[in-house]
Amino acid sequence: MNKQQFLNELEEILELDSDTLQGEEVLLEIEQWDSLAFLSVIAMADEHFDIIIQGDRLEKIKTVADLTALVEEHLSA
Amino acid sequence: MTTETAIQPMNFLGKRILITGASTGIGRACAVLLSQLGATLVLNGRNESQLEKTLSLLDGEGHHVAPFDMSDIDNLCGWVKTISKQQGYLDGFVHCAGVQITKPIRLFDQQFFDQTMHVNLASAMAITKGFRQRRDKNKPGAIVFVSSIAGLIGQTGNIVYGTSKAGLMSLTRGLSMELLRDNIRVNCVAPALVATEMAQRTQQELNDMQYQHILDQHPMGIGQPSDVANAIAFLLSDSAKWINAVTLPIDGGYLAN
Repeated sequence: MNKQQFLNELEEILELDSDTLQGEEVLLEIEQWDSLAFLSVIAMADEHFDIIIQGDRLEKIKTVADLTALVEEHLSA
Repeated sequence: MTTETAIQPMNFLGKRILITGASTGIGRACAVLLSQLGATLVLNGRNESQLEKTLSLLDGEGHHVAPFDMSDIDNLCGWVKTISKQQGYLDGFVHCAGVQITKPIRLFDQQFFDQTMHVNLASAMAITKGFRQRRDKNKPGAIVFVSSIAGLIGQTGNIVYGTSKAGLMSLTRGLSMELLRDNIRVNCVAPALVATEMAQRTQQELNDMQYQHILDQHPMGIGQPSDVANAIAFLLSDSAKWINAVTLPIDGGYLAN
C-alpha cells in the first residue's frame, strides 16, 4: 500500500469523497472523526500493515499527516 | 455424602477430551485443570510452540498435540475422526478456538465475516459432525462451547464477533436436542472480559478512558482463565449429566450491572 492508497482507505473510513484528503487536515475538525473512526483506523493498520497502533498513541495524533507518519515506514513508494 | 462422586464431583480419570484453542488463555487453563482432574487430552491450537508449552504444564501422561487450522471447515470432520482413531475414543470436547477483531460496520467485508464465522462458529459444527460419528451410545459424551457475553449484549465495533458467539449459543440449543439420541450433552459458557492475550490486545487498541469504561462494567473486576475453566470442567463432567442446552455466563456479575 502506498501513501495515496492509505489516504483513500482513510477517506473510506471517514466517508469522504476519494482524493479529498491532503494531509494538513486536523482530525478533530473532520465531522466524521469519532470513536468508531478511531477504532476503524486501528483495525485498518492491523489488517494492512500488521501493526497495532496503540489507542493512547492515536489519541495524541492531530492531523492526517501525523497519522500517515505513524504508518509511513510500512508504506510503499 | 458418602459417594465417590460427592468426594470428587469432577473426576475425568479414563476420559479423553479434545480442546481447541489450547495454545493460550482459556483453552490452556482448561487443559491444565482437566489434566489435574485426570483427563487425557488432545490439544489443538494455531501456535505449535505454545501448544507444546501447554503440554509441558499438564499433569499425567498420554496427552497429545494436534495442530489444525480451524478455518479448514471441510476437513475438520475427518481430522476429528483421525484423532479418535489414532489417540483413542473421545469422551468430550471443548471448543475454545476463536478470533476477535474489533471492526465497526464501516469496515465490514466478506473476507472478515467468513474468517470470523468459520473459525468461531462453523468449526464448532464441523468438529461436532466428526465427534458424533460412530459413537458408543452407552458412553455419555459432552461438548462445551466457549461463547462470550458479546453474544448477549451490544458492543460497539464487535458486531461480527458478537454475532458468531450468539450463533454458538443457538448452536448449543439446537445440537443439544439433535444429539440426545447420541447421548451427548451440549452446553456453552459465555465469559465477560478475561485476562488473556486477546484481552491484552483489546486493551492496546483502546485509549485509557475506553478501556476503563470496559473495566467499570465488571462489578467483580475482570476474570481469570481459571474462572472459566472451572465452569467448563463442571459442564463437561458427569456431575452435570442433567444439564443440557445451557449458556452459562461467567461474568463476575457483568450482566446484572
